Amino acid sequence: MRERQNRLSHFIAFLLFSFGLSFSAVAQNEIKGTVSDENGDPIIGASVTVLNGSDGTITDPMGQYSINLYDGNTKLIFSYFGFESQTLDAAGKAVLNVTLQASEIKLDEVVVTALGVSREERALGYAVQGLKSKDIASVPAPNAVDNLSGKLAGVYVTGGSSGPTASSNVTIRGQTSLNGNSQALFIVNGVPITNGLFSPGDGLNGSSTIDFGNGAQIINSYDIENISVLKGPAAAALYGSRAANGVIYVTTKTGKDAKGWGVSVNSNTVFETPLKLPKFQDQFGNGGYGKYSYNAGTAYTGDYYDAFGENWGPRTNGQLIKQWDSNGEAVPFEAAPDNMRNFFQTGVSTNNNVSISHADENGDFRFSATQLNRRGIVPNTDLNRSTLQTSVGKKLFNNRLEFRANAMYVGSGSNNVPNAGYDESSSVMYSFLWLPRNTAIDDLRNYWKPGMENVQQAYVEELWGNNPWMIVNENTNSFNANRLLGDINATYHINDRMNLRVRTGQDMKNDIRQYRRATSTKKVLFGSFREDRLSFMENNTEALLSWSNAAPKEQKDLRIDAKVGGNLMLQQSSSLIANNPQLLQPGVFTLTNNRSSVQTEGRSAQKAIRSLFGTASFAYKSMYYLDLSARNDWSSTLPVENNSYFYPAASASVIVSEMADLGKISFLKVRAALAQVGSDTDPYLLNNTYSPSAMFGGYPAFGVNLFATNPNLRPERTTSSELGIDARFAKGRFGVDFALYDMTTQDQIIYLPVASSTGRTSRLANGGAIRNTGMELQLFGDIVKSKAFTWNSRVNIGANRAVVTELPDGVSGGYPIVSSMFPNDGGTAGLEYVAVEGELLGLLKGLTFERDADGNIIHENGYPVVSEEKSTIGSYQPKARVGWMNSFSAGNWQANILFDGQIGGLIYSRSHTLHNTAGNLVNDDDPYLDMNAIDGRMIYDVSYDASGNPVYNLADAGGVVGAGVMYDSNGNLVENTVSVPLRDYYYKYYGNVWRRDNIEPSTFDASYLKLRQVSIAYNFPKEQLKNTMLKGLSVSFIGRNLLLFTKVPTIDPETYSIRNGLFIQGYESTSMPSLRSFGFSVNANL
Amino acid sequence: MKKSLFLGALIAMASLSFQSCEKLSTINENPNEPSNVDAGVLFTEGVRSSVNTSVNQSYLLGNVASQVAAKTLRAEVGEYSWNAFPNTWNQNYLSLGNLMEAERVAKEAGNNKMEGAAKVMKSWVFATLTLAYGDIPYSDAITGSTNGNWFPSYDSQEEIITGTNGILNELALAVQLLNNSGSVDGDILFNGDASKWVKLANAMQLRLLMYISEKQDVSSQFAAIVANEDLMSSNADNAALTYTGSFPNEYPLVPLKQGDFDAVAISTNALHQLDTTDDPRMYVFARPYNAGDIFTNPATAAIYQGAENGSEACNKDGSRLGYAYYNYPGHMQAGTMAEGIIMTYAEQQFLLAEAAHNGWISDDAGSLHSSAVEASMDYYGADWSMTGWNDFSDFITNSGEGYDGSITSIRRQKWLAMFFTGLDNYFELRRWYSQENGAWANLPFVSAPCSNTNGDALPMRFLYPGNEASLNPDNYQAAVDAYGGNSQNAKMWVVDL
Repeated sequence: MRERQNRLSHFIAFLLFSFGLSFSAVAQNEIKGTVSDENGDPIIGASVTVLNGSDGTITDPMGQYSINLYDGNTKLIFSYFGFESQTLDAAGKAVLNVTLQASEIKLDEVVVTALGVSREERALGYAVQGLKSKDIASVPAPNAVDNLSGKLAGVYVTGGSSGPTASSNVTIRGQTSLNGNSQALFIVNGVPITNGLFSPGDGLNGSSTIDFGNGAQIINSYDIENISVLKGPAAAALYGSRAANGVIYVTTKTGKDAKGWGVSVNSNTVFETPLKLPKFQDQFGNGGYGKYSYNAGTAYTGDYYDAFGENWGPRTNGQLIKQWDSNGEAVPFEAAPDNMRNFFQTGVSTNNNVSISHADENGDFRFSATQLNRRGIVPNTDLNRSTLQTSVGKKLFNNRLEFRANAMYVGSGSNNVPNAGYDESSSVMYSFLWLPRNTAIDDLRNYWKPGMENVQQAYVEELWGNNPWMIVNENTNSFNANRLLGDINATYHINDRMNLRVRTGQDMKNDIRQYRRATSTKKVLFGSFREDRLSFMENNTEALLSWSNAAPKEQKDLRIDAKVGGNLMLQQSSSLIANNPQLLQPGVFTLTNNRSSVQTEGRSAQKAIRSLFGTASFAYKSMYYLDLSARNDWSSTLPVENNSYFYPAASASVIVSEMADLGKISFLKVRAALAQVGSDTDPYLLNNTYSPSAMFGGYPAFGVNLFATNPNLRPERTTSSELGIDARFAKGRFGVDFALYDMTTQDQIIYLPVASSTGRTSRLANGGAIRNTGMELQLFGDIVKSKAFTWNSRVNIGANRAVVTELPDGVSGGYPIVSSMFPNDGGTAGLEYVAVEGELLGLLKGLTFERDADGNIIHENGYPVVSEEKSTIGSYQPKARVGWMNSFSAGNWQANILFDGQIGGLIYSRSHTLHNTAGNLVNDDDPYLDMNAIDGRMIYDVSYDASGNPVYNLADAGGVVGAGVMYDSNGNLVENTVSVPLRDYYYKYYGNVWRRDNIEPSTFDASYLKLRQVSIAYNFPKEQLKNTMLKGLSVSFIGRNLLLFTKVPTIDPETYSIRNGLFIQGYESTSMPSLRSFGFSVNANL
Repeated sequence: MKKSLFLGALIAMASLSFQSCEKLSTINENPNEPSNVDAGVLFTEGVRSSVNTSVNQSYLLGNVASQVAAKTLRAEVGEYSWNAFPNTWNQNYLSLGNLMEAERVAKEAGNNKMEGAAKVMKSWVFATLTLAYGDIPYSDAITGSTNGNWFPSYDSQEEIITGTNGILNELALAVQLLNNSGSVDGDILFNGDASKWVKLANAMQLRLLMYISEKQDVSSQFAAIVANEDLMSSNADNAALTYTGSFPNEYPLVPLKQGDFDAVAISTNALHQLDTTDDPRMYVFARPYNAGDIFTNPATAAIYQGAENGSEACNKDGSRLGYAYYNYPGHMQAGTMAEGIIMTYAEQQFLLAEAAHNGWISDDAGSLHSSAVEASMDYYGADWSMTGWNDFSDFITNSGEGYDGSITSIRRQKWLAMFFTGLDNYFELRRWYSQENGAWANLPFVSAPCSNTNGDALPMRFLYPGNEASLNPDNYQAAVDAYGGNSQNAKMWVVDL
């Protein structure tokens, strides 16, 4: 048994060593030696430090060390986790070999669990997975949430692409809510922080939701000490309501581990380019049915087609055609390949960090400053973020009082955040749907009509779209935000078995946003200006009394740790929105420059939760572990009679390998957990109120709320159970961790859509249940382990099914979570996102093809027939998400390669439908439609008569015959033989013409694989740094999202949409291209 | 000292938690919105939203289905491939939420006049809904928050219009209430003038009686109202919302982008009628069509042209709607020219003319018809100098547009006068079409749309919206079954002749 432990310890030691945790010093008196265990096996990574000094080192894979002594110091401390430390005097010695005795404290990984308590992983009856700072900071993503992609089983991150502030959606073990976000709860140093989107009010001044970023993205990668993911309610029960979706626990760095003074400097610069763009065609230009000639930019019929907005026009063969910017002259009609790509610039992101830390026997501190500057791929978009982070620890009264304060200030701002919605006023992606293939992007750069600066934009047509350069330069969405996260905690050791911790933490955010729309913007003709002032504050104050039946090093067969505590949570938010809907003087963006009155709307809200909780942990002979916990919350948001809710949790684990020799299995743990979490809701949902709206002349106006409140709400409940097994093989060289879970969220508090004949659009109710079942598998091991080369590999697989097991009364047949996914369509285009009892959550529902028994598409008059009734065609939910991390090390070189991807799941691409019906694409990569958009076009040659009117000569009548069947005159199904115009075929293939409401042809299997992350680092050897100030230096090449493998055409399937402030998975609409980034990183320690 | 420090901290924590329990409910009191308001502020919102809905639906549906205008793009209305037009359903019901809440609050406060005005508006919106869809939720509608009924059952159209608590009786009751005590507050339509609400309530009864006149003998009821009740006496009594011209109280079409506004043009049929009779309303209803844009060719003489009703394949090059309805960028402002029409004096006079034509009342059909046409001309500010006519009397005498003893002469002018009057122009066309057993030839001012998909048959109703199917499924299914399917050709009670 001892041997097993030692080998495991060696394994871990080796890992530590390969992570390069080394310290060096430069001096004269060199001591060398070997550190070994009782069996004489070398201990790798044992720490050797100088008593009262600041120098230290660790042993190498042979267990050997060398250290220099100076300033008269001669005493060395030899320590290693799982072994008793020894302090030896090296005076007069050149060689000092040491044998360490194993301590009785069992060796294991330590992870941070609920309440911020560090515990041995072996003692836990539930799944917790951790990431160390190295895992995060080696390729630091500007959005901290993206750092988790692919690295953790069961943690599903969907990155956003809407510019430098893009939000990332993170769920753990699936979606638990019928409608509402199932975002994991972020906790920083024990204090919950908001990960909200803060996007109040869609739609003012013609805008769809603009993504100013999720709240958790501000956590600076360089300041993270570790991240612990508490996956299920069992792990998170002690965080109360919001932890039902799992907890991402972030611990920031402190100066605690500094040996004296430490300075580190980190810097990275990465360049960003679009990862995937649609495959555009360049053989045909603007126009319709082969015709185009510019007249006034307003015709979509007749002889001009100059506001047709599509690329079904003439050949781009250089023929002379009047164009929008040719002053009535006929000029060569030529393709402008890559005009969309050329619009984008190379994004640049720089992130510079300096930190200073210091520790001595009285305390420690760390101060860190970070500056992130990003320039987006969309011109005139950016993000600047400054982070100041500090942590101060102090020990008082003979170490009986430990005091720590953490503070993080983040100032961030942007001159322009791009909009990725289906929104003409500020989305360039909307413009690109209708951008002529024959218009070079540079020809649009002068976006004002000459002499009409700020008054009238210049564009290829007058009816529909906006000049993308005007959008990015004039129609900006800017913000300036300040965020302060801080906590103060004090632990008083009453005696060696009892302590009291008091903590208060605060998350504060102020955000000012300004939205400008220039005069002549289509849909916002007078231009507009709006300013939002948002603030948010959350305070948590907690006291925790801990008691143990044994002192930390005291031996007891049965060890009991018990804690009781209470928490007070208070949230306050407010918003003030001032909207000048029509500018008086063009180009002056102020609230006072208005031609109509300014509309203002102010709101504030507060919410409190008061909690008492307790937990007891039992450990018997380091073999059996049992945890019990219970919590009661009182929430202000629920009716007085229902506002108290209690929830318990229990978990247990057994270390089987301690009980019997399992041969090749060096460690085996079996675990199980049961837990329940109660949950409340938002403030002010109990009593009916009336909403103010704009006055009419002198008449004030109020309306009934669109949703009906409910005075009888009850807390919702999530109940979960979990089984897991953790095994290590070959002396810990390989391991597997497997978990099965089953989690049901019932009595959900939801906005239930109601028929509008009730006078409302939704009502609040308790009801419905969602069951998430799934498994998580981690495999890891040292595939190659030699002195010259190591290869460590880790595979994470998560598979989850969220099934709607129950719907509220009256809607058991299924109801739309989002009834109309397309904004501004009046509900006619009708892709719905629905919940159906017994089916997967989040089914896509819409019109589909009519097919015969063999699955052939039925045609009528040559066109595909689309169903009259909607049907569901499947869910966004993937079968599995997979991540594969590889770490290589050879000499001073280290490399990390991470692949991740998803298997299965569906995504509907509105962009694909729109681009294809607009004739923009080659369409030779469509998995369904085996008909490119080049052959079979109607082709006219264009010339002009004496009066300058266009004359069209038919060069090719074109026509296509769709693959499928049709009814013959006898009513029998025969092969379709009817030839129809290509453009019209496309339109009917994608639905009822302009509605484009057939969802089947653009709903794809969203499987993808990404080369998510690559880093290749060179660590300069100490000899090379001898004559410098540096203790360590490494330089790396880093890259993210370098390759994408998928069968989905036109878009990157890793995307989502934001509707009404919710993340909607499986639906893409005019999304920005996702980014490929690559660059270099330098890390230095002084 | 250290012990007292921690004792202090503990006490502080404890006291924080003790102040809690009773205060939790105080924390959840909404500081942003009132839980009680006066009926007037709800009425303002209800009138604005229902009139806005009416304007939007007249623009996209009413004008187009009645063929005074034609869609040039997305032509499903004109080509007769109809759907639920869910905005008509949803927006009207949401407006009813405010109007009926205003009615309830007014009744509670004992403000009779306010309650009466709210009843008039409510009745107008319900009439639009039932005439568009047929059987609809009526007695159960809008009761979710008060009765907890989130699945309103459907009432028969006959019951909705003629039942004890039906629209006609509600309007009659409204007249009584409006003649009683109280005040009409928040009245953006008539500025608190209860007598105008009375006239509107009576005129609306005439309108509805005429709609159902093929189903019931309404002659005596109609005559009694004409004889005994106050009716509109001039355009000053028009129920038409004057917009303020500033956002968001502009004419609802003004904020559209040009491409969307230009998706509707004056129809070939309407333009033909206006042009051949040299009708000055042409210059209000439409703007010149000169190869696209008058502004780029100001020197060219104005040309007016109509777009054909029917599918997108038909001729869609036509004059767009007039300057009153839209701000063309960089040119002129629609301002407050266009109003949100609920019902005009002209329409009332056409109803009287038809009643006289039918012999329900003894007045002279010809002079009533003439007063109706003149009221419409005046309403649109007819500029006779732009025409070959000296004045209105010259026009009505010599254009052939006066009453000639035929019902067609009444229908034709009423059809033009009902421009932008909600969906009512379509409802009237549907009534005439049904009276003529579907013979387009008997309605010479309109025609079966070019390449329509419904076998030349005018659709009889809007489909029930999909949201009803998914959110009120049992009641929806019962209603659909009563029509033998959710079909645009199913005949609702008023046209089931």
